[in-house]
Amino acid sequence: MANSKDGIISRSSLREIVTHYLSSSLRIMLLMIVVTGIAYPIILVLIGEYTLPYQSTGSILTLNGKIIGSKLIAQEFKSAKFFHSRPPSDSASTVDPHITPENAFDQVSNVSKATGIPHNVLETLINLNIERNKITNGLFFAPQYVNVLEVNLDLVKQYPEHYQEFLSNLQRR
Amino acid sequence: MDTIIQLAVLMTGTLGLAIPFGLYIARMISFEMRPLEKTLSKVESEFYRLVGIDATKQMTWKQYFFALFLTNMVVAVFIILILTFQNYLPSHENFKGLSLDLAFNTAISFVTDTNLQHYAGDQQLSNLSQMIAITFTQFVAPASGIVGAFALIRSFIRKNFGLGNFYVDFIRVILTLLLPVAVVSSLVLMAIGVPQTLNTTITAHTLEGNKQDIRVGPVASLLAIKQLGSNGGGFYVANSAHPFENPTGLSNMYEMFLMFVIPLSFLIAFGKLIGKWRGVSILIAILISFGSLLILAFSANSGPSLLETRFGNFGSTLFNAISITTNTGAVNSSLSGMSSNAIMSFLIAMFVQAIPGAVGTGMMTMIMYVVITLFVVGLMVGKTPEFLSMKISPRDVKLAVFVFLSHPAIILIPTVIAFATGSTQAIMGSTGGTGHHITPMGFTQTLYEYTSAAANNGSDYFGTSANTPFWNISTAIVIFLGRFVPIGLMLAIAGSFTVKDRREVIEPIKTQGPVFITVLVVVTFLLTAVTFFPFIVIGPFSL
Repeated sequence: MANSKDGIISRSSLREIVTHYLSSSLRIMLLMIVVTGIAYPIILVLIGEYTLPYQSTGSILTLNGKIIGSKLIAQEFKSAKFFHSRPPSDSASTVDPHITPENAFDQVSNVSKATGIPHNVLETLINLNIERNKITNGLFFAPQYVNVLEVNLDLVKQYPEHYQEFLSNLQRR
Repeated sequence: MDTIIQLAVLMTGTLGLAIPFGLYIARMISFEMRPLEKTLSKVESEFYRLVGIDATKQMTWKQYFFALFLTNMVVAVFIILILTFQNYLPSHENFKGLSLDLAFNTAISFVTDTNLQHYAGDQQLSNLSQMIAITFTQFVAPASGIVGAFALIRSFIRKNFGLGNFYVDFIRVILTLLLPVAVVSSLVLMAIGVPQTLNTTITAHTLEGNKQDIRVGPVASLLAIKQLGSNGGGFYVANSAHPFENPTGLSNMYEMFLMFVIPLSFLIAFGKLIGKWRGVSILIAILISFGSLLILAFSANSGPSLLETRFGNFGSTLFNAISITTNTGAVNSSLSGMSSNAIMSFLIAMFVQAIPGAVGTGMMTMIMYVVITLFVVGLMVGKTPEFLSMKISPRDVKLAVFVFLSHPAIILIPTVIAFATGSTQAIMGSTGGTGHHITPMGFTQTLYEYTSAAANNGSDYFGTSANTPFWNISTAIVIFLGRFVPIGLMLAIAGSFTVKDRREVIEPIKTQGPVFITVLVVVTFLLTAVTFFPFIVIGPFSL
């Protein structure tokens, strides 16, 4: 290092510097992989398991003990007895679980015709869902919307007689 | 009404948080006492010992840059290995290894805080890869940008204050800034509904009796640092539009907070160390510019197609605007769902890169504009340009101008090459152009791809469709140059400023106050407009 004062660094000391830096960079990488790539996510998984078991596993909804989906992920509905989700190609995520209130109210007469459940009952269910979502969003932080799966699940739970074919299908699983 | 409340909460919340964060960052820069200093420094010295560094050793700008660059490259090699060979690792869950060009693109993209994604995370990466290749790198990249800004700011504090030691700064930034905020934020996001599990799939039987496989994983821990560190690369291919990566309006607001807070805090830190009104003046200049971009983005309605119902026009446009002005690059809608005015606003943000820009590098870019502004004004009034009572040498100006000019060069040259080689047409088909005819849509999307790469932003139109050797390699080169050329040159400027004599006299050109704010905003926008105007006209303006 004596001659580095003149701006000339000998080849061996250059190699020394490079290996010193390389070893520091490698070690810092290994340490940070352990801290931020392994310990950090796993500790949060463990905290989640004990304190937020519902959210951390994916907001799973069940019916009669069977997993029927996640509250946050849209599923396809084709039957006229159910409210329908947005077409996947129309949303950014392709799994948008929500529709606008207008869209939901537009579907009321179809669902009512197919099931025989009166209009005002369906509208009340939709309004309750809108209110619930409003609270979830701290009143101001999102436009009004309807969660399709939650409303359909409410229908199945409250009017099992109209949804026998789906319930018996679920039992067989 | 709701929209005004959202905007008010966002601005007061982030500016309110930026003050304590900024004062804390100032203490990190100048090595003053932080809260819990004893505990923190004990942990840090243990890390210094394990890494084998002498924490008291100051680095020259060349050593600082070399250490930063080398560490980043070592990490890039590690990511390439993990992603290429993920199928040989434990718990690979049948995910295949990525192709070498895709792994190369991803490694360069993530280590530079860009997070342009030509892969679909939820379909192509195992949970282990998401943790040790993606989440880990999302700490490395912002930490590298932040420490670069630390070194640059230190060069202004006083003569021979020293630029610091890269390894020391890097460890301190990760352990005592990014990690604690990421842990708290993960918990907040988990409470709102973001999954955090080591499982990969929920198998459900839907109400209509179909089988549905739902991908889950350690999402919250990735999401928190993705937003906080200007990273932007999502666990899911749909990014923050995916309900698991952004379940409600509350998570949308919280994610905006995370993106905004550190970039704004840097102005407070700058003010604390260099002069209160200097920091506040630059902050005001940024807020004026940000406000103008928001007005442009909101001047036309976006969606409702390709937007998520729970965010709508307002929540989607605001989120994307913040994400792109901070060069995070996360999106909560498809870019194709955004109005052309919004896209124009996003492109301008990425051309400027400092409204407020990414963590650390946004601050560095802003200082580059300040230097150029002082030079231009100095020419106009016939005075030697000075910054903080230090003469700005011709070499400093040349370096700053080179930083500015490198940006259009690495955007426009590859854009032309992409058309000349038919690469845009190859992935977009006739919507991009046929033969010598190029559509405005094709031009906009190609320009956007390279602008995003050069600005280390990471948002894009193409997504997995650009997973071809041409796009993987060309964007990786642009990303690499867009990151390390400016950081290297700005550190060279730091090296020059740190040894300068300072005379405590009245500044010939004031670097604070309304006149300076106006001049800074005007010069920045003029330079950007002169450089990029033709390309905006034939791109989004013609959509």
